[in-house]
Amino acid sequence: MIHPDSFYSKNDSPTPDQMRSMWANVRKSLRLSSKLFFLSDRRSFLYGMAASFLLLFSTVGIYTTVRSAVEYGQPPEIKLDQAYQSAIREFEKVALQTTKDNQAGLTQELLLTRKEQLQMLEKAINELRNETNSHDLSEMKRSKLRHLYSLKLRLLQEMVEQGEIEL
Amino acid sequence: MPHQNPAEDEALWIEQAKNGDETAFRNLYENYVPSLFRFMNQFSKNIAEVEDWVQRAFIRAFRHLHQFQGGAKFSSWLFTIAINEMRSDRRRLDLVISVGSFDDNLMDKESTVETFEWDSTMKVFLDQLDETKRMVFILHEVEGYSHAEIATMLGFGESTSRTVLSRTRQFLRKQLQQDRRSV
Repeated sequence: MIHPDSFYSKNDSPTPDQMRSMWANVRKSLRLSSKLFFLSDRRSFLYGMAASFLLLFSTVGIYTTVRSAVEYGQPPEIKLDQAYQSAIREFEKVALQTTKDNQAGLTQELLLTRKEQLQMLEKAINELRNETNSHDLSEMKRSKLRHLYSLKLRLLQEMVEQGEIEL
Repeated sequence: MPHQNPAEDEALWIEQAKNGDETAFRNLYENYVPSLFRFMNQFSKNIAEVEDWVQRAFIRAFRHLHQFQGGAKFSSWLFTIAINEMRSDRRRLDLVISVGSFDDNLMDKESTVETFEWDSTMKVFLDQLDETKRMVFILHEVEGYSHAEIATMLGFGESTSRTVLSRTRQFLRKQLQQDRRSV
């Protein structure tokens, strides 16, 4: 093996100035690239944040749309059941209050009859509803349930008309 | 405090440089820039071109330091990068230097173990050879790289490296003898 000092001449080696100058260029280039990396990194972060917001808004939008679509897209039978239930609940709120208030003015016998009728209807409706979940579109069951709701509403209506419930 | 073993210093600097330590980068640069520069200086008369290869080699090495495998020598990795930078410039100028076709079977078995005595006059004759032959010769004879390392660095087989070195030695010896005879 040849010793490097006997092969290379003194002129082959870099001077201190050349070394400093080259280092300055290397350093500058590395700093520039790290700045660019930071910038691209920060840009990526901002893009990421923007994407997250878009994703969030999209998700909320999709959820709202789907929910609306599900609600509005429900079969008429389910919508009708929900309408009946809602109407009855509202009616019962008023009825229970007024029934208590007017209890003294009504005959005990009449109240018992109405009460028993309401209880029977309520029991039948609950039994049928337990057997029928919201996805069950069995027409027979739906029809029967609608009939029971209708009877209950009619009974409550009669009680209102007879003055048993005052609005 | 520096270690007694330079390899330990180098490994430490590489690890620190991987974590973005500029002082470690500087240490690696100062440790290897003289040997890389003088080696690359053998392949161009244009000093600005040599500086450019060296700078580009360090920039590339530092940027891709995470790819450096600890099993290899940092110097051979750095030299490989510098050689590739030079070759890339040469390619742009359509001055691709071919290794030349050597028939490994023609290589004299004794030439692998031949002793070679360097004479400073040979440097003039070495300059007459093509870039690849000079590279193999300097990398092996001066920089001390093995044929396996040179093969990896220059992208050809180990046997080609041996053949090129042997032919180069024979050429230099022959030229020296002729020169002495003429004198």
